[in-house]
Amino acid sequence: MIWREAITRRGLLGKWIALSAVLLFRRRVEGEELPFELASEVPEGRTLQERLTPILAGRTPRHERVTLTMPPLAEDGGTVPLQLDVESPMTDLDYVQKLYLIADQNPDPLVFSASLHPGAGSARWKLNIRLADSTRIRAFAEMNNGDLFVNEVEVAVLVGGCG
Amino acid sequence: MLKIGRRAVRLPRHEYGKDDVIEVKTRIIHPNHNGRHKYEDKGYIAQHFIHLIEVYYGDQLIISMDASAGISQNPYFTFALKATHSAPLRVVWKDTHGEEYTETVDIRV
Amino acid sequence: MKENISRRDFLRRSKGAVAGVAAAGMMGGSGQISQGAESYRGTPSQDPTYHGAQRGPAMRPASFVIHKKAELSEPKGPRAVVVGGGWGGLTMAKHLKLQSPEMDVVLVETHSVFISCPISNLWLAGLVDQGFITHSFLDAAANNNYTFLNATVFDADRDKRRVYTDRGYIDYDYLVLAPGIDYDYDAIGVHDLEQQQALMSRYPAAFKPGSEHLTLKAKIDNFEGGLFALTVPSGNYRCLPAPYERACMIASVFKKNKIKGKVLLLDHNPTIKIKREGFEAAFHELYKDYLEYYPSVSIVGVDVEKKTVIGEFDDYTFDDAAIYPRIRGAKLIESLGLVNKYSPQKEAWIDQFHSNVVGDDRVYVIGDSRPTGFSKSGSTAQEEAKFVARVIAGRMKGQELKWETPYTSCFSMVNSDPMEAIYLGFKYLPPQAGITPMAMERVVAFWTHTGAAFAWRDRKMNRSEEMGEAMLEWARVHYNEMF
Repeated sequence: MIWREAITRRGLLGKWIALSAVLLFRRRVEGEELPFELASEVPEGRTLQERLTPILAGRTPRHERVTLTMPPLAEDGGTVPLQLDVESPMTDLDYVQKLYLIADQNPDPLVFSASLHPGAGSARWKLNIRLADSTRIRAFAEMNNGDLFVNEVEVAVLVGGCG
Repeated sequence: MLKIGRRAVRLPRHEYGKDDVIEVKTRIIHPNHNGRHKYEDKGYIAQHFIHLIEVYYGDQLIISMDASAGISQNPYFTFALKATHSAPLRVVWKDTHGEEYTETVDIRV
Repeated sequence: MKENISRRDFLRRSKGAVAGVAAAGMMGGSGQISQGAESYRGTPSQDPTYHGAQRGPAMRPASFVIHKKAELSEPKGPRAVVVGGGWGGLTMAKHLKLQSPEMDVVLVETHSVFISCPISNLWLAGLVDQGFITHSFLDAAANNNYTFLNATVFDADRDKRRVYTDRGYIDYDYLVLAPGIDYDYDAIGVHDLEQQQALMSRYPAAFKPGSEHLTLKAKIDNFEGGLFALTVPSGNYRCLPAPYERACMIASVFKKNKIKGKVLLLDHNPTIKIKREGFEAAFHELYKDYLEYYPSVSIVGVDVEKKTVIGEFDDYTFDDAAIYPRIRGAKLIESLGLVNKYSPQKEAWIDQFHSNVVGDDRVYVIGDSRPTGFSKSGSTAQEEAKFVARVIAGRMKGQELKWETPYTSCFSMVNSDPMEAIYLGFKYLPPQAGITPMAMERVVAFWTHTGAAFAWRDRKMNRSEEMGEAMLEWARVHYNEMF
């Protein structure tokens, strides 16, 4: 529905139909600098396998110790809150060494990979992420002894955030 | 209007003691363009996002996050920290244009 | 009984006619004393003017009203009851009659005067007078051959097909619920009821038209300077561009009257949620000295006494404000037991292709209490109502209509001198388009009945006087669909 139809659909507005031939919209000043650069193509996506393989490194993660909390329904994929908790004493002998977040359906499924030092004393994070579409999200935690843990949730996105 | 790079690191409003686990909130104003949004018919808004967030507690790097453009605009990152000693807490954001932003707060126990 | 004693003590201590009047008021207004009235033997006052509870009417159960039939003439055809006289309900009442002239239509609305939320930002800035946005429900009913009942709905019995109002019950063949929205102050960290009431009355959102708008208008007209805070909530709130348009309109008043004031626009979203280019241009080019925009402000509380919005990162002190909290489906939907438990905003559980309550083709929910991701706007509600009126007319004849997208046509005034507006119009894709192959109960249960994806159609982000005039014409045409 174009705007003219929105106001003329009951035929009340002949003058608008007549005027619409001469559109006098304000033009932006030519050569005005945009606050961003332009690219001719979108960045290349990554496959889920490409991102998962180095994280798994042949291991089968166990569904323990990691808790990923997200709303089951995201109203706006552009900013979806999440909370990530890993049970760990965070001592020099036993700590979370790596954290990974994977959103299966995103153009690049790897949202972040992070390294931790036991000096943080805790592994509980909150972030806002983008989701292109309804998807499974997986959080991996790798301990300093090489154990790998995972937690998965699924989120339905009402309006995507990557398009 | 908020400019790119305006940033905040916030410690809890409440009192905390030695070895308490506290929540540290951080946020930076940044478009975090993921390169997938069209700009009229001229092309796509190029990628421009925070790709690295580092947190130093004293001199120790305690968190280092490599981020993709999957982090939302105005990156928000909150983490729990065990306040073991008095020291500055420094957060560093780096973006894909080579800009670096730093914010420091003092942990006092 | 303790309460009765204390009331009596109060009466004994009070003297004169004033106490007598107060006591009569208390007795009349309270159901709690019905038990104690029989045993009441005290002499409340020696004042000869007192004619209070002693000889008053006999007490009756508070539920009396549910046994009384509303005073309406017998229907001559199938009866449709439309609950809510906003944009959706008014359009529905008119178009039900247009589609099925044999239908007996009753519009039940709690207000006695219609004030339009769309265009109200223009009135706030003095661009149109109050008459432009204020209309009579009586005219709507008389012009379109239906009945207006100025009453409040509080319950329904879907087995009996009966809806209960404070003026008695009405039996229906079709019930259309268009109750709009309620505010969710808990979502911005204001949990205490006293604080909620203080916030609601002193800094009203003005997104439910009526006294809230009058209060806001007086605030703007009397503003002497300083910071005027507006907030943009999270979620699918009512009228996505309205807070930005309102910021422009209030700033235009400050600019015109040379008031040393600024609008402080605190947005939960990381960026302007809709029509970004158009609003950004207006903010920069027209209101640089009169407006400050802060994105990503997640509100965790409001201190009414200190006039401060408490954000997750920063606090914002204001001189005056209109605080728009998160919204939710009208509480009537919840009290009728129709909430979709997966809806983040407590909206109704409906079949989104035909808008009837799931499993009940006699009850429909339209307008801003729908869970569908449509824009919560007047024009969307109007388009939706026209379609659902056809769905009901079709079903009366045993025909089933295919889903049709409403379209949202949306003007926003950004400049007042001259009057310049921007425009965005769009339709929606059917929900299947967005489904991914996830076999999750909640997704199937919610997504297949709700989600919406946009099919963008028309954008006019360069503000123009032509759009400004078109906006007023748009309003006239849309009011004409209701009155």
